[in-house]
Amino acid sequence: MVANPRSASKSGSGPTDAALVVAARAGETWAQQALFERYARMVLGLSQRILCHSADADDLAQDAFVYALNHLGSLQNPQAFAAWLASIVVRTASKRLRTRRLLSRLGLRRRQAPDLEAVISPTAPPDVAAELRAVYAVVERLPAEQRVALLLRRVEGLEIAETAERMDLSPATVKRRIAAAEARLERARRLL
Amino acid sequence: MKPELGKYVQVDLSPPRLARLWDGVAPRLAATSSPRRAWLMRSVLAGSLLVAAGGGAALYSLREPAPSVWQNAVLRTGGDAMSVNLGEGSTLEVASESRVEVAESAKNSVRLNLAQGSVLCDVTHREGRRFVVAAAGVEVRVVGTRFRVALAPSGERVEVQVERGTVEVTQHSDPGHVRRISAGERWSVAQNAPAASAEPSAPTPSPSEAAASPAPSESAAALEPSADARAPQRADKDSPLREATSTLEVASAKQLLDLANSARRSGDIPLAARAYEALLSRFPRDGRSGLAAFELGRLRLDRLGNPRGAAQAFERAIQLAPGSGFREDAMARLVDAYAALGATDACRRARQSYLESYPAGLHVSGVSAKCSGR
Repeated sequence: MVANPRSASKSGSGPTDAALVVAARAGETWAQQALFERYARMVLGLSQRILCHSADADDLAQDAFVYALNHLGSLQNPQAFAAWLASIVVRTASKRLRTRRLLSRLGLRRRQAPDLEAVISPTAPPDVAAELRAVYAVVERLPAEQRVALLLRRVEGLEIAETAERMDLSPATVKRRIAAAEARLERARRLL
Repeated sequence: MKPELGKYVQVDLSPPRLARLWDGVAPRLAATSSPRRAWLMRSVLAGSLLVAAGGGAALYSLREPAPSVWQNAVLRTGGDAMSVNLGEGSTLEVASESRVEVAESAKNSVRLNLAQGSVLCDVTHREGRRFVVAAAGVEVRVVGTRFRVALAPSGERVEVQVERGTVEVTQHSDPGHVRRISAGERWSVAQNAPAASAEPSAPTPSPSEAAASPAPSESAAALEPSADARAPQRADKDSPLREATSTLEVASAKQLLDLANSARRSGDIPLAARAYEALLSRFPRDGRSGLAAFELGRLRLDRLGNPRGAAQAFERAIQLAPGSGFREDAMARLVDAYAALGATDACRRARQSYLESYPAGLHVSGVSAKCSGR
């Protein structure tokens, strides 16, 4: 099945991301699998929290890994693989959401409301559950980049600078997007 | 304290789901090189080879090097240029005051990082071999060609000029968008510009291997999906373009035109091109088809680096909408497309046709100057 990255190191702590990237670049399949094994949960979780639908998250996660593992040569700092991979997920998700929004506006695609009860954990405290419902109800109607910025900030808990890096935007632009999204969120709350 | 909302979003991370995910990823990974890479693994950890040149002529040629020798090499020049033979037929001409880092040099993959100056690469075609030059967030991927990559001294502009063959260029800021730059064309981008604003500039009039085909037939045959539609589709396998394909097969002509125009305005050029092509293919007699052909031609010429496909589209636009308001523009752009292809005879015919049809037209001076001569 999937190689255990720990088996590549005598110390048991596993090779570094940089070592795995270099090996994967050199054509070592075990290193590609090891990188996948190490970050599949992160990628799938991030994909699901941005897109909300499981099938869409699977597609996004798959595409992000395929892109990353086929373009390791473009990664300047092999040790920064995780952050680079996360930014690929975010940018691919944004692009996908933009296209869907365009198709929906033109009547070429039906909007799919997320099943929030399936998305929100039953262990969530009531105020957290309410917050998540409000956020996910609003993001369905937001432009792609406002949606992604809001989710990275509110749900992923990233700081502005981290959000900007993931989205490859300036912090000022990210702040504007988040402010616009927060304004919509606030209006939606007042209507409840 | 703010609640950590992400912790409370349920995500199925079970082994079966992860296994399915890997089953979908593995077949789509690029073919790896020979499994017996132990020697390369050792060489990856080897020290750097620094090659510097200065003073008089600095020509350095390495015959039949083992790939591990070049791995991590740095090619740095002072006052003079340097020529390097990579041992399999490809050569690098490193300009003066330049620095090229050989990040990877294996049988099936070569990767150079241009840190300063410019490098002219004459690359031998080898089936299945990736040859990439990266500079300031731009990646140039080649398959048997001759091209130059230059980095402005400030590091803020990257320019790619192709003399022979075709290269594919991507930017880190827009990984899913692949531009094809063909022989005789030049492309540049400022690092602070958004990806969608990078435009191919006017092509240089150098000879082209892809040049000099006769004008496309004037029959009513539908436009074939051009290379730019295939190339972005291949590169954008990981993008929503794949998802829109089924939509393009069922949308009406109006919906396709609206989709194409909206995608073009929002910078999704591959989707816009596909939508225009779908309209032309599925509704060749629709009143909007002439405009679709014209807009497609513009995209192909200005954004997709495909002058051949652009010429086809402009010919089609002129044929479909002879009395339209954009006919003059289409005839003028047809001249541009043939000029970009280096198809001198076709260019001159198109130029003459435009000048006869529009002797006092808007584009007379521009068109008259095209086609290298009379």
